[in-house]
Amino acid sequence: MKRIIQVFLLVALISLAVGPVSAGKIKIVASTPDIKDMVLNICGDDVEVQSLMSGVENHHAVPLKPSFLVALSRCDVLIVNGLEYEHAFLPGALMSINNPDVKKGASHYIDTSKYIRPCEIPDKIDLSLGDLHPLGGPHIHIEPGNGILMCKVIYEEMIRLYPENKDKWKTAYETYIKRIYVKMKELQEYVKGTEGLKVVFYHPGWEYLTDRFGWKKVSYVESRAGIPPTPKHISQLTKTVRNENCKLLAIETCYSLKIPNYVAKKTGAKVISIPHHVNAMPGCETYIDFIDTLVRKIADIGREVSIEREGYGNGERKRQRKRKKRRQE
Amino acid sequence: MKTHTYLYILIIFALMGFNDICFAQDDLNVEEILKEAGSAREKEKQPEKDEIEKIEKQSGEYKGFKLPWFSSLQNPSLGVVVDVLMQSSDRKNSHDSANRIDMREAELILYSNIDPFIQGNVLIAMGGHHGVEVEEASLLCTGLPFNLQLKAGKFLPQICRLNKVHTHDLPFVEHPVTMQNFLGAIEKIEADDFSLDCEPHFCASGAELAWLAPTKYYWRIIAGMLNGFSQRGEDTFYAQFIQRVDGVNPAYRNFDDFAYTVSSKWFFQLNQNHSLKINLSGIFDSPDSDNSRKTQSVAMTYKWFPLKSGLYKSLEWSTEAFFNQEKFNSPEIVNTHGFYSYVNYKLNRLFSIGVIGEWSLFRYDSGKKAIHLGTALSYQPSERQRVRLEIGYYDREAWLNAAAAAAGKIAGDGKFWQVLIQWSAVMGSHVHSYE
Repeated sequence: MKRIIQVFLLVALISLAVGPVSAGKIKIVASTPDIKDMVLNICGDDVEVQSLMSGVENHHAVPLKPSFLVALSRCDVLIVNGLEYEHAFLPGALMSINNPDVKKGASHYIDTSKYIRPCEIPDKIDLSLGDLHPLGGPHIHIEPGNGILMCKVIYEEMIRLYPENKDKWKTAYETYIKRIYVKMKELQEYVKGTEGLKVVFYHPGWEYLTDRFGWKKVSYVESRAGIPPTPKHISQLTKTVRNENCKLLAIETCYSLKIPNYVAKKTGAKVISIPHHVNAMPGCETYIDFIDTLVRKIADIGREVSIEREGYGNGERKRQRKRKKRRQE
Repeated sequence: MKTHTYLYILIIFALMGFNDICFAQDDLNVEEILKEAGSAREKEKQPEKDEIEKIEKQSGEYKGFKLPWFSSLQNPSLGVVVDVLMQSSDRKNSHDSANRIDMREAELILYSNIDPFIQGNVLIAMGGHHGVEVEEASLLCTGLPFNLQLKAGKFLPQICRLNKVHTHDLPFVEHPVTMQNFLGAIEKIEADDFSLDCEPHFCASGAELAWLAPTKYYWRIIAGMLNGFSQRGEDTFYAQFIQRVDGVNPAYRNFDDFAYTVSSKWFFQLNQNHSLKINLSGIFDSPDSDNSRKTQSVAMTYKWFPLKSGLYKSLEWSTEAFFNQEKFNSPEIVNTHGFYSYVNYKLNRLFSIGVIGEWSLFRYDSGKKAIHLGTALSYQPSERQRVRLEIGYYDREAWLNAAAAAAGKIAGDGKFWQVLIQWSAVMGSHVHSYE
């Protein structure tokens, strides 16, 4: 009995001896590496940012690691993608920690989807339709215009919490969103000639990207979000790809290529792996690089498959060759 | 001269063509950028405003509402887990308990934040051995300083590797026999045929204080004080074993008659894809009496979860050893121990396979041992349901003979093969906290 009381006293003493987290940099936890990069570009050296996701994983299969609890317990601010993107790991983690300021809706919980008009909002909320995104497509970061709006939320909320840094962060924020904007315009110019490109993706939520760059989402490999494709759906998808004369399956790198390759073999379409986050592939170390890699990958292969499509004459082929030559130069 | 003129014209046109993408960043207007950033979807077909509002309302997230629209808004999250089990075995003298289809358990789970400082959690279990039972009802205070959390009520204490894991989330269909032996409680033997039915885990009323240490790695220390660990009252197997009808019921409960728990949990991220979890637990029940009991466990779990392909491949290997020192209404201490070890490997997005092996001495008799070997194939078509086929061999003959002899009954068949098919599904809200 004495030992038990001693253990209790020891624990109590240690806990009293531990003071609050040392002052200095603002400790931020970002749910994704994309948000981490945005925060670092806006707030610079004033913050220390840790991302819960590394970027290679599927957001539906992020394991709730105890290390998340350590990070969330000690952070000053939590910045999330929002629209239930972090449903697999964040609600459980927030239930397990003390830090009341970073719980959903609290003062230091920043939701970057605030200004986004969601795409693919389900007509009906019913689990028979799969693991739905009830608020609409949460993959907002894949589109540079959305990226700018996410930065706007980060900037506005950060200066609300830390107004003393407003002047410093304003300059960095404006410079950064201008860089994203310039990249967006550059990519819009780059994709010219691929307008109307028909694409199949794996997991729902890609209309943000297709809307921005003038492409057309034909279908998804997953029949319902989060539900592996059934043989019936694969057969239906094959028919759709054939009927729509779609020649490209762009598959997020976190998904298996087995079924897309099967569909491609049946239809003569091409399959490419595309990044879905910062760090998902080499060359995607920053948000701007990620967007650049993603769009160029689809546009480049899009040009190749477009040549084989009906309705593309010699003029287009010449333009393709010129662009290729320019890139090589 | 003519060629040069064409060249100049071409250069001028080229410069004009690229002008819109080669502009200086400084000339850009932030307001114009923000306006254009949100414009991509404006051009396309958009859901009607009413439709969006309808969806947002249904999701409970629509910020446009100023007031709650129905009074049940503050109701707790509700979820139900249904667990159906079909079992078949070649066990003799067991009547209908060998071959059956059961609704093993339906768990009604209610969870809610109560105020900024505490959360409430209630789990009502239906089916199983006890009909309808409040298995857990607890309050958790997360508003304490220094990362301390206080829990009070009836709950599964945070000890050992699997004690807090609910039945439908277990790595196999049933709790390991070794765990049942050291953390569970054998029910009173009523009939001549029996199969050592027992409450498989330790659930009790009490209070628990958890502390997340300020270390780089996850280190959590939990200390608890609970009403009881070993069931020793009347109508228990314990009373039958010590051959006292009323069991052990102290007239006045002293602080020495409670059960105290201490556990320490570490988590090490070895690299991006590999991790190691270590649990140490100790339970001290009625420490200063002739019915005292001390149980210790050490568990290690290695996990390989490749982040890039975690949806398709992963592996978990977990081993736990138990050590028990117990007095059965006498000064003599009975020392027993046992272990279990299992591996679960995810074959692809839908299927996973596991094997389990265990060996344990009977808690009541250090001379009697049992073994269990099993394998299971799980099919998980979505995050919300699982079908599992398990085949196992059990040798608990010595345990059954010892228990039957103590209870003055005839033993059942302790060596048998068993096939289990489990189908479990989650309805409604089901968010797990970490442990």
